[in-house]
Amino acid sequence: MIEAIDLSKSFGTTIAVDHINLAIKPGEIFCLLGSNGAGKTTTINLFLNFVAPTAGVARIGGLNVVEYPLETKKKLAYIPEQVTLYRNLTGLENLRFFSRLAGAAADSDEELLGVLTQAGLTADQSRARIASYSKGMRQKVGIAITIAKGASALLLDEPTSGLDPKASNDFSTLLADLSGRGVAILMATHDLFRARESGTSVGIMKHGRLVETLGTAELGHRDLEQIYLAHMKD
Amino acid sequence: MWFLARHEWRVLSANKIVRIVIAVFGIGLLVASGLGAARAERERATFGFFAHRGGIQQGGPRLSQRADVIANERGWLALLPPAPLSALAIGQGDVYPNYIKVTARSLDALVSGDQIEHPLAVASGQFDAAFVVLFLYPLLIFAISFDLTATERDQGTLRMVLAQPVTLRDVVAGKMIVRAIKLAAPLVLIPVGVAALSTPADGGFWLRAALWTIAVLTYGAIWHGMALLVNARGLGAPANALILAGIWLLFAVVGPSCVNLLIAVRYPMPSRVEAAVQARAATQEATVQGGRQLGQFLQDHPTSGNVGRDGMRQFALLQAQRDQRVAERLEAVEATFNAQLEKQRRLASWLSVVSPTMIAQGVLLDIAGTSTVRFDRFRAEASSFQQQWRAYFEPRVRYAATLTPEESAAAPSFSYVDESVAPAARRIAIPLVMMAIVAVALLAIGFRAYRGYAL
Repeated sequence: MIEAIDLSKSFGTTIAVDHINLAIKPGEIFCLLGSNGAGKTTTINLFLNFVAPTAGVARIGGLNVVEYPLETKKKLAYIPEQVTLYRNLTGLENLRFFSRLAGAAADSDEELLGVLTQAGLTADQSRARIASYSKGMRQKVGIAITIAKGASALLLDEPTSGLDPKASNDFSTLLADLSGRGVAILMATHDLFRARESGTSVGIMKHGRLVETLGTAELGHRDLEQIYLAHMKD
Repeated sequence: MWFLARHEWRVLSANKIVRIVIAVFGIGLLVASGLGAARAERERATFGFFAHRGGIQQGGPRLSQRADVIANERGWLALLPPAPLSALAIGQGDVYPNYIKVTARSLDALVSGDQIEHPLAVASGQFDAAFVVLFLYPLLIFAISFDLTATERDQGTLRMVLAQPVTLRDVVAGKMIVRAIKLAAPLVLIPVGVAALSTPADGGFWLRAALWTIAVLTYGAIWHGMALLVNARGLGAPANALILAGIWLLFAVVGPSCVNLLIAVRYPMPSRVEAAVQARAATQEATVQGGRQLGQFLQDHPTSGNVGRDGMRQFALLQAQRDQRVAERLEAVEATFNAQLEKQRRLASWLSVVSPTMIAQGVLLDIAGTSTVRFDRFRAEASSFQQQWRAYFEPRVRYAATLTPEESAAAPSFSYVDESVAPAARRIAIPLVMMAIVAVALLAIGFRAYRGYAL
């Protein structure tokens, strides 16, 4: 469960996140939409405890991230726009490092290669250095870290930005798979199409506030675009 | 943290630039240690050669056994054995003599000057392990620590790591431990290893080597602390590099140079050449005075046949009086020179607190046995020996005696015995503790500053 209760963050006089409330249950994919500077990344940073909230509470699995920074990070995984791993290490070595850091059970080459395969990388690709990876391949290592770690919450910050349509579609499939495993997912994105396709619900942020929350089941792509643009016009 | 350190070890080992830096450092250390060991070996060989030929019987039984010849001309060559860790630090060894010719007239060291090496080598310093520790080590600490987290933060890797159950403090500590080990391991092992292989290592050697290691690591911790503090400011890697280069210049180069300049202005040192000229003038003046009396004596006794035993004694007495005058004038010149030197040293000791390099230099040289402390002690012991020498020979010279083999054997002899490690340890305790306090404070402030590090 990913939960925000009256969560706020100000940088000086600038309000980045303004009393947002949300609750993402296991298996749900919540897509956070909004223009640049709307507060999406700051919201994710608050859940990661990279910045301290000015007010309110951010919870992962029922635990306040400020009070239990290490415990909550055991439960969550994070995939940024650019999954920047150690370039001199292979995909397999990177996965081993991050999964050990997270205290994951999977450790042998076979187990880790199996996880990388689930994330869509072949054995040869897994043994190649990250320096030779495309962005899509690095995103897959990010997914593999999530799987290996057994995370119950996943935070994504514009993960499909810059991916080609095929890679983007593959990524959505992987997210659906994680959702099926009961992972609660919060994804900040500009991609309205992917949000409607992948998400179970979407939220529109503006000037730090969550101005609209919608279920995607009964929402057409065009409806979402019109609602989004209507909010952006204000 | 240890897992992070192991990971950092792999990442750093895969970095070509770091590999080159460590390799160059290792080669530099090997060269410095090899040069130091070769020099120490030469010193031991020279010491062995002269120690073997020492004593008043040197040169064989055909030499004159006249008391005045032995007391005033042949004298005793007081030898300072090579310092316990001279292979690691030449220190003051290229400035101060490691032998003093002791005669009843003088301690022949100030005016001889032939111990002093090429002025260029003295001015630029010797390339020894101490030089590597004091100047290159800090620079290399900065070279591999200017980018502890900046690039990883800018590229986003740090966010990926900190999204795991790990603290930034542990990440940074892991990085620092690896960097500290990568540089400190060769820095400690290579010079001490080479010195141990080339020096007859006894218990004292290992105790001193342990103190040397503690001092080197403490000194390194100060520079690691500075690097940590600069990194914690959250600037980019190029800015960190620039700031750290400035800090190195300030504390390792400009600071000590300014201190030297200040001392030179406050207590200008009379040059050794000037001191030698003064000494020679004083000697000449006293010799001329004494020479007049001796000349009168010789005029009164134109042939040795009519001198007689009493005449010989009178002649010896006049010679002794002349020698006494010469010795007094020389002592006055030396006293002025040494007083000024002492003032300089005292001021340097106080001002050294402005630079960790200067403090560490004092500590390392004292441990190695090549600081002024050992040379002063040697000179004091030689001076004390001179008193014994005079006391033994003066009555015999005045009596114009010729020494019997028994008297030769009973003449005082000099053999320098090094002080134990304990007094050196006591001397370096305060500066070492000061260095440790500075290092701990810098590291504590650095880690604290990292709390506000913006990701």
